[in-house]
Amino acid sequence: MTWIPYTSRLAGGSAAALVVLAGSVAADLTPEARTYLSDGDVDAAIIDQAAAATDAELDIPQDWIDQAAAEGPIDFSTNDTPEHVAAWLPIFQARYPQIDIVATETSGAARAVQPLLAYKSGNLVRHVLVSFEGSLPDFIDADALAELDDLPAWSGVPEDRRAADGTYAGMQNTTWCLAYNKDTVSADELPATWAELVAPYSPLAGGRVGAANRAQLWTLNLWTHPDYGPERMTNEILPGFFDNLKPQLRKEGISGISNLMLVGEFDVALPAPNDETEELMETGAPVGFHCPEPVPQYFNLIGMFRDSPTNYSSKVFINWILSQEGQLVRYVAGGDGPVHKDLQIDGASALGDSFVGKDIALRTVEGLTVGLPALYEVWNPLWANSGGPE
Amino acid sequence: MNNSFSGAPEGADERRPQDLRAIVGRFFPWAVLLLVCAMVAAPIFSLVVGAFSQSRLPNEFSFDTMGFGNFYAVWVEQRIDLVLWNTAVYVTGATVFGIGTAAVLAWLVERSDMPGKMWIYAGVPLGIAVPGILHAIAWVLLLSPRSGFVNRGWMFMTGAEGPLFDIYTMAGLIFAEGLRLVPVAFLMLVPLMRSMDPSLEEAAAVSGASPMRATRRVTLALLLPGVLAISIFQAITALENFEIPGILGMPVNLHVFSTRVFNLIENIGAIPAFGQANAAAVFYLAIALVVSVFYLRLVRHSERYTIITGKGYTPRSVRLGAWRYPAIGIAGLFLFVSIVLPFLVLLYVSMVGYLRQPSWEAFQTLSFKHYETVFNQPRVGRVVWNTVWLTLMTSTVVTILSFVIAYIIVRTRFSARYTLDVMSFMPHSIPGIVLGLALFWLLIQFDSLTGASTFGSLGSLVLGFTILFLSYSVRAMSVAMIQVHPDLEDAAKLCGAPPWRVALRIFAPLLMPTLVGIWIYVAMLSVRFISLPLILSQGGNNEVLGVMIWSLWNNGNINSVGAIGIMLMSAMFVLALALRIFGFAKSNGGKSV
Repeated sequence: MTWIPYTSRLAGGSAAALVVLAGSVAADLTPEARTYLSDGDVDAAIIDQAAAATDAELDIPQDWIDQAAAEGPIDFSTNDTPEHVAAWLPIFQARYPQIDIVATETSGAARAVQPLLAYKSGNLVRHVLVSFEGSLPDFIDADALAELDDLPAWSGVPEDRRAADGTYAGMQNTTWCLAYNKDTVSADELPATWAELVAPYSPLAGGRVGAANRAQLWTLNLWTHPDYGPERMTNEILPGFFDNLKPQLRKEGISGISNLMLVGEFDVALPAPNDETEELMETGAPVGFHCPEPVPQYFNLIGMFRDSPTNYSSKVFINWILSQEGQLVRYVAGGDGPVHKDLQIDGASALGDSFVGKDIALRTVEGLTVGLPALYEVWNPLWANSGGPE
Repeated sequence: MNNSFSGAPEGADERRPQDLRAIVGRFFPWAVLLLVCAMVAAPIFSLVVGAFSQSRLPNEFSFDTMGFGNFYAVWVEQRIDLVLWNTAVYVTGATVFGIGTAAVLAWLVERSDMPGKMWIYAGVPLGIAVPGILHAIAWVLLLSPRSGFVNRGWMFMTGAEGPLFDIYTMAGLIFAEGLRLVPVAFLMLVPLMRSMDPSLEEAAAVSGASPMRATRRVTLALLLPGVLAISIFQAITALENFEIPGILGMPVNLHVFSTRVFNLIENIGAIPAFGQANAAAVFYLAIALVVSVFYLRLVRHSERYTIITGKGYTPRSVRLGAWRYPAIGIAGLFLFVSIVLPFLVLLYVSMVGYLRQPSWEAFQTLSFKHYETVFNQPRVGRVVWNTVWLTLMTSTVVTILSFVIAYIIVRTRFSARYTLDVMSFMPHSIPGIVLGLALFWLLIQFDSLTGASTFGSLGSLVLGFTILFLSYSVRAMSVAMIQVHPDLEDAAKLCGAPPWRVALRIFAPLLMPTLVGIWIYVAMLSVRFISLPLILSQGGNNEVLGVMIWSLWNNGNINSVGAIGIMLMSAMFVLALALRIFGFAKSNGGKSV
């Protein structure tokens, strides 16, 4: 991914703002959003840029708002923690008080697969869902997702991070690296590259790394990266990971392994997302974040079911999420990296110092639909044969 | 006995209100039987049919794609034989450990002169208040091999490189589940110990038997049938349990039936193997049914082992001598390990700044900030509301339904009352995870056919819990109803009281302690039970506390688990106390009213 210098982006944004301001009534962030972003240490210039963009990005037809007011609460299947939701929801509702959201943090089949089954039975148990990449082909087969390309904020999502048919879009960037216990891991033990991590006699070998069964979060990025690729991954990196590094193979989810690292189950958690690791650091825990190159990064998807009883509210909500206001609010609330093309700037990504300027290995939609099944054919037997929990 | 359910009055040609009442009375028991049969049979039918379905998804089901492929895959690829072996070891071990511990405690309380009995008698049943999932989580925090607080303390103090005890083992599962079984086993064993006629032991002594021989040949021989029945009942409980093996076994691939079925439908990043899950569940159900049939046969012949006679007696207390204080020490240790320690470890986790080993520095960070965080989450309020609604509805529906069923079984000459009795006991053999999966299939199909929205609703959980808890409540209600003499009811009827008035004015007051007891106990079960909601929960509409705790634990939000766990345990302790004060304790103790 390309990181556009902040000054250039700021200049572009300001120019756009001037154009907008010249031809219309000045729009702005809500006072709640402005205060929230200021308190969250977001640079004033970035806040002004987001404010200037509201006119265009949040230009929702009044009819949608009226219809949304008559709809019930949106059932939102998310991977946001409850604290995270509690932080951003009031800011959203300051702008749209007539829309209520019931957000539930779910994982596994309950997040996407079961709602899809219910949809195919004619019953909508969720309206908006995120991070359904693992079952994306099934959603496409079922034609379950409604078109979103009429949203005013749609064009803010880079073209390579949204569906060509307009049915889903990237909503946040997440960077997946290593979280480590600073009390037990020294700087010289941290690998510069992934190949170095899995090389024979790695200083982190022998159970010092706790790994979650989430191949799609970091190895898939390497699988599609030119320096690594399927052949090298199959013959060198993945066998090295299991045989040389000998990590502890854990059943726990992403946040779970970071917490286990803190209580001493192991010294390094893999993979660890930048946003949640930053939150952990803010508690005072002795946690470090390190990114071997190339740095795995991906964008979580957001979409909504067709024929939803909250069709208009869901569209207004997703539009807000994709807008600069929503992207920045979620960044402050939970460290979610903005996917918006005008927010790819220094200072708008959690723990950016660990990976800005490094070689980024971006997970693509094609990687998900084509590369992931091939990767699983290699990963799953290795995981199972090494005693990993199912 | 003549009553409205037994038939219409003879010679009634005119259709008066009494005739209408008789017609309703005649068909009402059949309607109840039909309802119970539908509640039990429909999900099971759906489960079995699903096990033969070769379709990838439940809603792609077709009779054209039926076969034995899922059974083959489960047996050969999933190695269900290993799961069967694990389950057998786990259930046997936990039952032996749980019943053994409960028997020692019950004997100390009822048949010895141990000091401080009342504390033990009051304290052990409080263990019911600790939900299994919180018990398991507490044991992970204490006895995880690398980071458990006890193990780290042990390694720090002794310099040992290995843990004192690894909770992620079969021994760990048996230990945790065994402890969980003790409170109910204790409550069942206490009356058994109390009702022992000491004259039988005295007769053995007079005949020259040594105390040991008298204990072995008389006391244990008399207790054996009862203990065996309780053991099988507890084995069924262990067989059904998901929480302990889910938290302690799944992370290390130590699967029993309940976790294997759950694992098959909870794949990450792939479409779950629904058909295989059903096939595994069918094996699981078959085993549970066999154990239940064995239990029923044993209970049916219980009169052979009658040990309560018509004459009065006072159980003899055994003098412990020098062992009095070690005995209370052991009993106190049990209370500490099973109730106090899990509470303390969750309290620590709920208050420490971030999760870390207990230390002076860690204690300096204790605060209530995680409680504040929990209270500030909209999700928590909604989940608590869902849980309260589910609990109220389930308890009320189960209490009313069990009253009606027990009335038909005990008080009418309805020709199919034995069938009704058997059908209402059947759910006792259905593990929660199996019923959850069965309802999952049934509701998906039902919604497809009718356009309804039952899947993902709170109503689906009420339905599931009503089925699951029916057997227990019908049994308890029947026993209580037998104790109410029919004369009272007949007198009311002679005075012209309709059935509803008899129920309200005669039965309700007399059975109030039982009704309240069933209501509170079902309420506690509704909060504790997570396997069924884990499968049927779908987001904000029907997420309940147990599911939220499971989700928070899996997502590493351990401090919040601690805060919610402490509040939940406190509420459950209040319910447990209410059960002791207002529930079965005031029932008539076997005397006919």
